[in-house]
Amino acid sequence: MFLKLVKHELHETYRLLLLLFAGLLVMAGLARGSIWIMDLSNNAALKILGVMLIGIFVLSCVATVILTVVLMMVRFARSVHGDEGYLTHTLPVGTHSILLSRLLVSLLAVLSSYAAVYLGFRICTAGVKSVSEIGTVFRLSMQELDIDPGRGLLKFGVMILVSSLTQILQIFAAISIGHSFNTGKTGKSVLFYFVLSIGSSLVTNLLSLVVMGSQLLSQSQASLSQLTELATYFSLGADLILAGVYYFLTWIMTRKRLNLA
Amino acid sequence: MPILTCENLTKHYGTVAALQDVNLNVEPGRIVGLLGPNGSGKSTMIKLANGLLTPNSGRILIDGMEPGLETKKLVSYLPERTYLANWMSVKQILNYFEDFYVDFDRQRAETMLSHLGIPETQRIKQMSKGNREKVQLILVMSRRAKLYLLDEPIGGVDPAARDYILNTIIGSYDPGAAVIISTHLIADVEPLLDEVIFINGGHILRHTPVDTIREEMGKSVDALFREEFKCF
Repeated sequence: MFLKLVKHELHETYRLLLLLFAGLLVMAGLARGSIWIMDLSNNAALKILGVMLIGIFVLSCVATVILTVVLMMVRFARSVHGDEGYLTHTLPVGTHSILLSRLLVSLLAVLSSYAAVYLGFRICTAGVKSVSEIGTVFRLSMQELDIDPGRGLLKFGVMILVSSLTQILQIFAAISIGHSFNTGKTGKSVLFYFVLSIGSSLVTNLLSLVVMGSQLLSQSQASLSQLTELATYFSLGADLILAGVYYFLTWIMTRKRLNLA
Repeated sequence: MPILTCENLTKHYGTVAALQDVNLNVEPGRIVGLLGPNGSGKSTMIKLANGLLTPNSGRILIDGMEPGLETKKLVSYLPERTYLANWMSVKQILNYFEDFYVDFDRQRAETMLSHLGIPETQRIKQMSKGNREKVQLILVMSRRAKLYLLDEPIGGVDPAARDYILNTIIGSYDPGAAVIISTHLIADVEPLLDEVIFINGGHILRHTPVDTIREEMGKSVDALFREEFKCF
């Protein structure tokens, strides 16, 4: 049943996302073409048009990520706490299956929006020498900091994955709490998003001061790479704990306080 | 064993009581009309039976179980509003129901759709409100459930289609199953009903077999309803 939920959710989400990603890649192609024309021509009008196309591509990248998040929020609110919830919650599936299927598809949607932006960037900058040098600069910086580039990229990937997961669950929790009220559900969802953000920031900042401070005191000779490593693990651990708390809040509000009134 | 049991069931929306200490048993094989004016608690009771709302106190049982995964397999629910995604075609919705409900009879659904002239290629957003309601009712009645909960099944449907829908309800359900119909259109559903429940202000005022109303009181259900809920 879980896989069936995922299949239908993927269909529902990606029928719009694929259009969005296709639009972004077309914009990337146009931006690449404008760079090529600007290199060949001295025509001022063409240069202005080229700069505008590059600007529109950059805005499209930002819009793609934002629209993906908005789509994810609307899907969750509508299918779990809105009119479609009348069907969702009367399917013979458990609450965990419903929530985990939404979480998995939302995570895929967010990660694929990052991938689409990256692909767009690569298309836009294909063959541009100054951009291809970024990789070299990255490798040299890693060597300078005494960090293995492969391991650094892996850690970066894991951090992106975990922080995306936490952000999605924070949005789910806020929507679920907001929709447990009888009136002003959307407004209260937004309010609780900020309440959760501020609350979690306060707690993690306080904890990081305690943990990092004590480590600094005990290891006065700690190198920059050791401190970076410590900060990375602390951030990962904090995000995972927060993700667990947000999932529990979402589950309890959906299972015990569902309010399709 | 009753298919639906309410024990001191109470549900509040803030300070407003939607249901207050409701006690009720519905036996299998009965078609029951849940009748009452607007805001009387009919939809709330049906939503509680589906686990879409949580009671403040008391409990509601389906075949002896609290609403949950197991009871969802037994209950076929028609809500008062459209829950189908607008972009979906009828065929995609049939696939969806077939995927999730093992008791869904696709053949039966396709037959009813063709009788009502609704093409499977049509999308929900292209349909009138009445046709959307017909599609939902067909989906719900094409399941072989033990309990059908129908919230305003003919509210938005033209009078010509009502007879077909009411006949569909009678002809589709398993004689061992129970059907609870919440509606304002009492005269239309009256010929179907075995029992009626009158509800108002969150209280059950009457739970009586229709034959008793007709034979002992000498009235139709519609006439009795108008008498008991008369607006002054």
